[in-house]
Amino acid sequence: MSLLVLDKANIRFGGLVAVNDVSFSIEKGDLFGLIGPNGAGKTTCFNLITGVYQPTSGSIEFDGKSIVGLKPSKIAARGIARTFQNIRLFSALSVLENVIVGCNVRHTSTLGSAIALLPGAVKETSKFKEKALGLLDTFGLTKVANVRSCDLPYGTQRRLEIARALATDPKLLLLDEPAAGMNPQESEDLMALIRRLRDEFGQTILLIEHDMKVVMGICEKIVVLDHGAEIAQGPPEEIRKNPRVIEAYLGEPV
Amino acid sequence: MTFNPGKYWGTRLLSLLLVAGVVAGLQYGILPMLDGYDSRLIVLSLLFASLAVSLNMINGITGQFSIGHAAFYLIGAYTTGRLTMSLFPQMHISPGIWLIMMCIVGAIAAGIAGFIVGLPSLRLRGDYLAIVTLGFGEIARIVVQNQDGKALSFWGLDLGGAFGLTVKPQLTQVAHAALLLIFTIAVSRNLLKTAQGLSFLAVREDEIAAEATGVNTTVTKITAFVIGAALAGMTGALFSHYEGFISPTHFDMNASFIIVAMVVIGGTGSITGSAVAGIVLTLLQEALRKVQSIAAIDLIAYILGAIVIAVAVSQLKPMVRMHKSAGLKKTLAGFGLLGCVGALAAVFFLAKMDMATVIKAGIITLLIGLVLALTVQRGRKGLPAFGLVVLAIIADILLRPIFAVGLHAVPFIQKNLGTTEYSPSNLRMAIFALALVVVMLVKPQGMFGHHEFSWDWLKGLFKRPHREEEIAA
Repeated sequence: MSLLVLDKANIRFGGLVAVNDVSFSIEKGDLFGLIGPNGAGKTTCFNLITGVYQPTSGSIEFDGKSIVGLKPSKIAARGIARTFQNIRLFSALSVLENVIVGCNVRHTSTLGSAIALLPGAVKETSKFKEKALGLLDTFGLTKVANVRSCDLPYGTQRRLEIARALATDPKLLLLDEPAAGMNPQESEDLMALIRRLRDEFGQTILLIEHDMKVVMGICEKIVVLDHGAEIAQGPPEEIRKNPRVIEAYLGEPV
Repeated sequence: MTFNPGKYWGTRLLSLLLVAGVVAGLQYGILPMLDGYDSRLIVLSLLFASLAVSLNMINGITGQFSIGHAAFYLIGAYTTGRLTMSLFPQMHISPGIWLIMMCIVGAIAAGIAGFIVGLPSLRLRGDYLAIVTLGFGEIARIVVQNQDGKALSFWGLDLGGAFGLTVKPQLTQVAHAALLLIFTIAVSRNLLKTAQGLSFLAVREDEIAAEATGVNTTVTKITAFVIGAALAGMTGALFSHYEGFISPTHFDMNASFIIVAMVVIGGTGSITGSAVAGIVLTLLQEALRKVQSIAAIDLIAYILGAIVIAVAVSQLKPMVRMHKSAGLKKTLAGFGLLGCVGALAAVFFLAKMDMATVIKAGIITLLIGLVLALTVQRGRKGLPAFGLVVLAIIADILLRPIFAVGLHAVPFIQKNLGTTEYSPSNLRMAIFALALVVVMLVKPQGMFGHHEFSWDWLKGLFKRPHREEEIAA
């Protein structure tokens, strides 16, 4: 059974069809790429999957159940986590606290027990703290655990955002241009990290990326969007040769 | 915020003992030494601190800009006041238990109102939400003001309308107000110590990211409104049973704005800041009542002098680049602090003397505070604090008469203001407002910023200063 199935998903903003009959399905363990020129509807596609927008028509199924109409927080609790194209961290919170907010999706203690500081809430908090510290370790952020997240350099903020998304124990991780604004060295490290997440932790990943080296290097399957419509789907080698993709996006090899 | 609950039961027990000790000390140790006026001041400042901390839950921690907080205070006060008047004489319940019951009733009544006001916060943000809450605050007050048991009747109950409502017996003691403040602080502080509390901060920082990270922003925002309102309702319950008389004027827009000012001045989001600002601002408002009248020209001269010095200091800042060792700077800051405390003490002791001395002392205090704040804030490029304090005092001595003479020389001013005495009631709020402006200019992020009070700096004093590399790492 596929983890995520988009079937003819469609969204209109007034007269503009931002996403037009897009269908694809992601299997467990996939490293899936979503590419296309600017304004092709990639981020809108993410917003549809995460519940920020509701599709005008079509269906989106996650883990065998429809997630259309659910609030984003509900979808996050179901197991879809995301990062943002323009980084969105909780700036005034420390790195550790950012990740703990992610862990808190799985909270079982009640608000009352938190206010009364009952043992349940305290234990849960230390459990989350442990888990967050573990994640920080994986992402090489242990040293900056107590630094305010807005004081971090850009590349580190991107890594923290991924760590925060992973803290929600997602079944599917959506990365929106994770390598944007990074220098070649940083984006290479990031590629290694993404591959490690998949290989070591079995994390299913869907990513939007403009850097062709990153996409072709790590994705096994790619969907190409142009003007909201899907123009190609397949493994990287096929995509690279596809004439429609070359025309719309990649350009002729020199 | 740190997640160090420590030895669980040990810490809990210790903090309970500490609370009992503080409250008992206040009630039996300090209170007998004070007269009625001073103890009333203490109760009011504790109550306003509770209000500020409860508003901080909505404004500071969850980031929903609400400026109608007096309405929740009003609802708590009127609901419980009316209940006590109607039911208490017939019931045979001990006053202590009745007061606790009233606190719970006030909390529930205001909490329901908080839920209703919280609903627009789901759709509105920032200034739009502010307008809605402001409107709610005014509606609550105006409804009560026009309610006299005939025209606008709540099941035939008479709330006294514009004449106010007498609440007898007056059950609230100083200890109750202190306990309420501790309770209010504990609610916010405990919440922020847990993972769940962080989701409130997450909503403040970035709603979209919070939602994507699994924080139910709807529930979180409404919860913040309900908790904040319920705590304000409890405060209202204690207030009506302390004052013995409540009228709509106690809960007007002015009250709402002062509570907002307390939160902002304390540092939005800082629990300690709200509590401290609540106490300090209430005391300051009252302390300024003791100030006697002064000729208008002299007052203007003082204010002008203060402005000139403040401008001079801010201009000097980039020019002075003296590198001081951390130890020396700490010593200087210590001296400055002592001077500040001394000047403040002088203000209180001299309060019975003429206004001129008081204002002068006040201005010097403000200046020392300003210099101190700049020094501590500037880090390595700190000002040579002591020199500037001296400079400020000299400048004040020199400038004041010059301005005064200059103003007297202008015929128009001499004719109109020469004999005008500003009475304390006029002056009080003007100086109060001026103090607020100065604090905001010096520290736009409020007294505490996002930080909380902790004892860590005490430990820091005994440690050797950090090396540069350690800070960089």
